[in-house]
Amino acid sequence: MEGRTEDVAHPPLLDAEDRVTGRTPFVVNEEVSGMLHGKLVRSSAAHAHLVGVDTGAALAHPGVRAVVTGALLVARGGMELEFGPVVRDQPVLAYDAVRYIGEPIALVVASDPFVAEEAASLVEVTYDHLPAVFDVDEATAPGAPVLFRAEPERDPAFVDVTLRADYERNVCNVFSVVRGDASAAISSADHVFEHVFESPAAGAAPLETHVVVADARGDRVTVWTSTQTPHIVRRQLALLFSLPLNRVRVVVSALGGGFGAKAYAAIEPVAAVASRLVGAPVRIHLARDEEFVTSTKHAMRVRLRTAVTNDGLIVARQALARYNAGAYAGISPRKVMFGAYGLNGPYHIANVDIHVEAVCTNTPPAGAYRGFAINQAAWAYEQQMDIIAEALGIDAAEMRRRNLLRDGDTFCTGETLEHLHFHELLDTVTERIGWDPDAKPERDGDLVRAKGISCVIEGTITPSTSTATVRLNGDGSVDVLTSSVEMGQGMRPALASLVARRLGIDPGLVGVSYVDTDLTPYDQQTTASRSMASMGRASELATDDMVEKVRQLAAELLEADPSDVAVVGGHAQVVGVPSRRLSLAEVVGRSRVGNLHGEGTFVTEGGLDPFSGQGVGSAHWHQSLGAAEIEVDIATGKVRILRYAGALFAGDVVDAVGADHQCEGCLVFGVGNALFEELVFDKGQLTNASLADYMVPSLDDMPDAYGFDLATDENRDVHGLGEPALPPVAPAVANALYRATGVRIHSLPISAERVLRGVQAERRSGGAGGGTGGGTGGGGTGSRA
Amino acid sequence: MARLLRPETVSQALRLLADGEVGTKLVAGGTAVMLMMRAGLLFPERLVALEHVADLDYVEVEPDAVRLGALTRLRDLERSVPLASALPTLARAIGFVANHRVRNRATIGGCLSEADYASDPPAVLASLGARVRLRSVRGEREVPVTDFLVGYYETVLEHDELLTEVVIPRPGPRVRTTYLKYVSRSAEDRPCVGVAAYVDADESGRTEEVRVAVGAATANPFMLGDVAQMLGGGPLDAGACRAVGEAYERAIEPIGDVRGSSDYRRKVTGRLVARALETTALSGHGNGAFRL
Repeated sequence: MEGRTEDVAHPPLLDAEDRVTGRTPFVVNEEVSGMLHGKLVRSSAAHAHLVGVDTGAALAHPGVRAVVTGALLVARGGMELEFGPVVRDQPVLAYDAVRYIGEPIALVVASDPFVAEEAASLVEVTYDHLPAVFDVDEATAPGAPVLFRAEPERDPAFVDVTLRADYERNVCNVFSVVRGDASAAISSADHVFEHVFESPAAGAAPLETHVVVADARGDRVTVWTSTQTPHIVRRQLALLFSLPLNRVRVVVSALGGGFGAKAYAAIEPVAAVASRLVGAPVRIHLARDEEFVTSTKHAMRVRLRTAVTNDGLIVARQALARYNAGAYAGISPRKVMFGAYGLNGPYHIANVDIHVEAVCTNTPPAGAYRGFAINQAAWAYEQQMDIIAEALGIDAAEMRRRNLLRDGDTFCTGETLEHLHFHELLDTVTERIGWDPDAKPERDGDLVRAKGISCVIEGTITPSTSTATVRLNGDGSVDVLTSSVEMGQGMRPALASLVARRLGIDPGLVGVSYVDTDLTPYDQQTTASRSMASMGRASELATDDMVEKVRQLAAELLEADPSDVAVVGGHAQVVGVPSRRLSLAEVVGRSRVGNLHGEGTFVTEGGLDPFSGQGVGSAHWHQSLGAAEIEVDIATGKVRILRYAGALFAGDVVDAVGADHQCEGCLVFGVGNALFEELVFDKGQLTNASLADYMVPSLDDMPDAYGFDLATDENRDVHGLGEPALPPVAPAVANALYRATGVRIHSLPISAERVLRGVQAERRSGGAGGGTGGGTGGGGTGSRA
Repeated sequence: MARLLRPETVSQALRLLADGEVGTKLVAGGTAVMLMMRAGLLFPERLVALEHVADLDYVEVEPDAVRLGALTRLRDLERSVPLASALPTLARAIGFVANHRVRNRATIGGCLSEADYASDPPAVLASLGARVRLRSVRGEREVPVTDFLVGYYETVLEHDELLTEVVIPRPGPRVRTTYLKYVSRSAEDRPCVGVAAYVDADESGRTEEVRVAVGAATANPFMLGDVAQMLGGGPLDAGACRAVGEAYERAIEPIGDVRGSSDYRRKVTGRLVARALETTALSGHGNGAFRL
């Protein structure tokens, strides 16, 4: 029996047992009585006018209850036809034009998902094809096909995003960061380097694909859905049906992965609309090939010009980057801001002139993606740093040491930065990886080994709002009511630890809700590595609010002045008189209040001017470095990552194990991005939309040894760790590859075939490799695309 | 929707095949058939599922040959101690197929009958001179693996025939074998190029027989017939290994796919053939399989 007592005193950490035993309540397992199943009919045209959608054969198929089309929605009226987080440009179902291959045109609703799938193939769509455009530079060139004839309507909720759209050039937003006089600095600089780098579209590939059950019968709309943004989905559905927010209920249990792809509304609108029309709950669960065309990483191309002194000090940076938004804007209008200050990198640069465009093309919509705009930027500027260092004869680590931001430096946004740790983090990773400025590549037959480093700065979404409720129950256990989404990142156990630490109780006594917007208070979104910083802080404030109520009640019960009562170690006690104390459970019980609620609201202020990029870019700055040792087989071009060392500033660490796991997850993600991952399109048609053809890394692709050092400061904010460890991975690997072979890869991924081509070109041009060769990657004054 | 039939003996299965109309498909482990059905590439009217068929799950090591029942799962072959001691390269190579979840279901007979080009076992079996036994209600025949596989996803199986057994001659004690599985992407990917080498050389290093089968680069394992002749019985030194590699690089006409272009595979083939021969003949690492 002692064992049992022990169990009660130390209940297992939230979610641990459910994860291991397969009981985590994933959204994909939600079932609602009487629900029907929907299968989307998708466009096979990249850009076309819809001439006709013949649903006759599908409707006649046994088991089919309805076929919902865009034309039907137009004819019925009473509901909005478009949705979208910043601009409402995306049709619930296409009714006039289709703008990418895979765009939803109709939803077949049946009693059985396989029947719906069969019948979906019977819907006949007639197109009047239009010229299509897939590349960002082509889309912005004069005479390119135009995707939107009229500027789409805005959602005023996203007030922080100022639109500088130019739809005649297919540009849905532009963001500029301008500081000093970059042109003048460049024209008088000792050296100027210019390069073009590219990143392809990629898939987030969550194990659980998008899934929703919608019930829009009567005067309410309820969705059980796999979203990272419950309150944004709630607003989008309220707009669609012209309902007050409290008539829309969004329920989110655990997600089987998100990685950004499940941010913002996707299939919720069409499921809800179908449910309203059919009069039954409707479930949609995307197949894997559909998942790949629902939300992608932005393809991006950047021309980056950097001017330096002979000593390697960066004096100016100009950049023009185009992020491929795909057919609909999604969150791209905000993403350009992250890309713009992101391209500055973690360096002190007095003269900056960076322009970032989000460009609409006839490809699937790009959305949020782990590392939000920063992966693409770091891939470019961190390789260029190595190119410049080599050209000037400066060690790559030393080059960074001379330029990395220090406390008191002014960032490109005009902010004076404090609490910077870049230099100590650089020392950490170079020591961990065994950095030697004079090291030559190690060769063993066809196998060559070398090391590379990279440094990244990343912001979190600012301004930002989170609210939380903390509830003390009659037995002393505590619940956190939150609309932050658990998607495998361990947000729930981490929040429980945070609140337990504040109260001085066992973390096992703290529960954390799943999301139900009828019950859980507002949170902006679960993205941008913000939950532990923003929702964590809101939960602490809510805990403090609750503690204040405990003190008031305990003071009465203990016949003391409230100012003499403290809550310590799960007890309210009179300060200095340890014997006069009550447990939290006794306070609730004896005062007969049933339970006690505390409320917390955390709001960060900031924002940048979209024309100059000046203002407050981020409530705090993520600082992340990586160092990789790789081995390349020059017979095949295949790169293996042997060792990886990451170092980050993490502020106040709440959950050390969870923090390490998030960094590890970033590394897995980064290995895939660096070496394999690319969505391959042929005239807008995705050609590798399966997990057999699209490669995600397996455990065997992970480095043999890796680790992350977290610089901490318990007096600072909690820094979210969902993303920061990711962006340094690919450029660190690319820089190591160059040192091994003299091959510079400008376009992700670092595929074996690209590397072998480079190795053979290098051999023909007589390059010696090992950081001494020129060839494809040589620097120097001037340009090298 | 497909009708599912579950015979319990080989002869029941053969009868179902014999009176099978067009649209009958055999399914063993299901790792290939299910994917193809899911992808809409296969619409069988009748699925003859072999999972309850008895007596085709075995590894028999005889003095001259090793016999594998067609329904033996890859995972069991990979873990079979007798197989590992008789044919270590084959056992190791089978352990490189996909991942253990797939190997727990996939069978050796299914693997060969599917005739997927991007597969490891066919090249190893071809280099070992393996044969397959095909049975039907009409009788049975034995065919070398190299003749059994005739094109992309294409074999000589008649519609009423079932592959029941794989027969692998046991190499003599002097023989050394190697398999190199090269994956160009993730470790769990199918091979981009696989090279199986078989070298029979005497103590002085003079080669009696040298076979090299290149898998995953062409429709079926690619072999040049006259490798030993090319060497003129001479020793397999580094220069000779390179020369054979170059001969393969000149002769092969690889396909291009997501794992590499034709040109890329040609170059990789040349280097890996040389490396496989070096590993087999020179390194002292003979009789193994390696994942690159």
